[in-house]
Amino acid sequence: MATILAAIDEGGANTLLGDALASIPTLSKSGSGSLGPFTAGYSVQGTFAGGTVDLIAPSTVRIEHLRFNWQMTLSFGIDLDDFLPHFCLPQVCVDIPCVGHVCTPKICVSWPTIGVSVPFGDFVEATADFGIDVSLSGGQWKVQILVQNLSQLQFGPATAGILVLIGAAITPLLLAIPFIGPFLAVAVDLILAAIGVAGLTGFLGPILSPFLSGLKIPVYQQDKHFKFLPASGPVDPDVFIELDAVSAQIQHSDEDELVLSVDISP
Amino acid sequence: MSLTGTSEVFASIDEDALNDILQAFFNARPHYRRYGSPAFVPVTTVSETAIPAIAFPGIPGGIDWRISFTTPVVDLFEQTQPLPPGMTLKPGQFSLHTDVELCVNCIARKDTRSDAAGARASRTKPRPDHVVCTKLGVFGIGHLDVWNSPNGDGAVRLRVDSVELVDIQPDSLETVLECVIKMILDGILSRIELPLKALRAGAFELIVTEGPEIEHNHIQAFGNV
Amino acid sequence: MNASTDLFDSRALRYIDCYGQRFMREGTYRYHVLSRQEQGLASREPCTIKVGPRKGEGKNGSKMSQHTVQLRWKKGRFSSGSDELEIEVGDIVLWNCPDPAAPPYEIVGDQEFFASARMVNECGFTHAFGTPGSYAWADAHGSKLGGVVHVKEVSCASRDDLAQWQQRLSKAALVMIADGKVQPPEIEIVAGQTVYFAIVTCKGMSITDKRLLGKSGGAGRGGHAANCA
Repeated sequence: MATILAAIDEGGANTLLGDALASIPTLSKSGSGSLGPFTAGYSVQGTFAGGTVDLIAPSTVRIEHLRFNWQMTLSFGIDLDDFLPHFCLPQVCVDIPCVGHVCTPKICVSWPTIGVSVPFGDFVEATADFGIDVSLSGGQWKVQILVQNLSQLQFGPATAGILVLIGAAITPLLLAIPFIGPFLAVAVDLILAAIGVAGLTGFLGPILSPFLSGLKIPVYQQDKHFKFLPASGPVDPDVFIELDAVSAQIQHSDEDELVLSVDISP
Repeated sequence: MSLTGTSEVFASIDEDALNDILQAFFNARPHYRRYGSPAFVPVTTVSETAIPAIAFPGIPGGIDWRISFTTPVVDLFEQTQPLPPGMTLKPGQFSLHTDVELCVNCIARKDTRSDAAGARASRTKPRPDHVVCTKLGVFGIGHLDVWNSPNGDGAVRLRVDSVELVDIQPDSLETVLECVIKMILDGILSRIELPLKALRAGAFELIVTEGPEIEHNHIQAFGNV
Repeated sequence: MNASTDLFDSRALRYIDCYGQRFMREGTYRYHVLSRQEQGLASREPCTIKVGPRKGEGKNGSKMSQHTVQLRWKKGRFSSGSDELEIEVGDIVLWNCPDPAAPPYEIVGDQEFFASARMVNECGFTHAFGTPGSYAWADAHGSKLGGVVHVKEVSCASRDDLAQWQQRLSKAALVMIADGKVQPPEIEIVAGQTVYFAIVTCKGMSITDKRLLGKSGGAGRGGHAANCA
């Protein structure tokens, strides 16, 4: 068997996979989801960073503290009628000299629906177990690691502060609404309570989790018809060899290594 | 014992794969193993390399000759291929075996002033119509000539240190031919650089800290990402 | 305090405004309720107020009774529920459309004294101020009449605070306009309270938020440089 072998230990794998994660372009997604009682639209984008690699024989690559840094713009409408008490201006009477007693009718206020748009960002971390996938497609060998198991997402410290940001975004919108002054604090508290931290993480989790669970990290990618030497003149054409088979596994001896084996032929 | 040892990355190519690469090279660029003077090879092509005739006074156009080799088969230490008596493969060395064909255009010239045809013949283009050839089996011992740079570039060449022809008499003729063929074979192989990245089929990044060296029928190298 | 978007204009009545007009002579008075889009398109049958003789004391022993007309906004037009209203001399009719979705509107009568956009005698305009700020107002028809309404912020930390505030809302502030004077020219209320601008005598004015009038403060419709003496 004509074989080329390449092996990388955990230290090297940390660097290799770290570089691979950093080279993944910004991912983005938009859609809508339930944020407490609201239907919120979102636009999110993010990049991967960090992580500590643990190679586990025979074929698991574990990345602990795999981090996804994300930025999101959240948009949702709040029908204030759902949060504020029914409010009416009472009948108002004046005594006009030489005229008499004049009264306005009771006038009920209809609270509007306000649109809120809040930008914010944070990170999530998880431990991901990747399996090794080797494939030949379109004349190209590809070895990549794919997420097979993902731990529960751990949110960064800024996530808990998102409710405060939402409150800060809502407040100036509410201030512009006539007659809301006495109800302002109540309105903000009720709205934030309706969302809640659980509602927020419950909203963010299903949005962010697919970024991590769908992660594929390339490890090796070469044409089966492999150009060993490029042409260097009219009488020196390209030199090719055939990569007939590629395999990858984690081998354990006195340390764990990712070993790539390539069988070639002329 | 791990493959990488104290390094982060390990890469190796076994001797069968190295021979496949050499075969691919010489299949794509056969002119590296076929050489001929103008009577045999008027101009260099992918198939053959043009070399000058052997100039000699009194021989107009010189002595036309041709030399070609079969694709060498390499054996990396530890020895797995037979060698002739007197040759041993030591650690860090490779052996090679090839067949060489040496041909000469042995023109018979009339050396008389009245020979108009002979005079005309000396002015026209030489033709290989009096070719005599011999084939010899060649064994060689050599070492790796390597270079690598901090950015991960590098290459390997095969350098021939000694050559053995079997059963040529007298011994002095054997010695002369061995020297000529050694120089020619080393000249050929020294022009062939095998990139380190291609030798590991493009796998990983490797900043070499140790090697490439011959070990256990492999060329192997150690380094970091 | 910053002024807010709480604009007011007697020429363009909204759900938190009322227009009141007292009828001092017998007769039949026709009027339309027009949104801004309908200016000049009063092709429909007008509403009618029939003013008959005073038959006795009004309600509560007063010389005047109030009739409140609640307007509805439906299918692009205003309606009053009944096209004919019978009142007695000296009674006041108060119009209000409580629908927040209705566009700004005006009451356009068939006589000069009878118009919310240009108020003359024995009429009034009310506006409930919902947002804290200082609101300067002026006459869009060019007179020098004007004033300021200071609206104080309210925060209610408890149910009692809320109850006290709602109690206060039932009291309006009164601004009297007569003989070319505004009394008082500056008033202070809390957010949610109503101001009643009572016009006793005038040759035609509006109560208009000064921010709607530009820098000149008097470029209103009609250009009537009236002296409301």
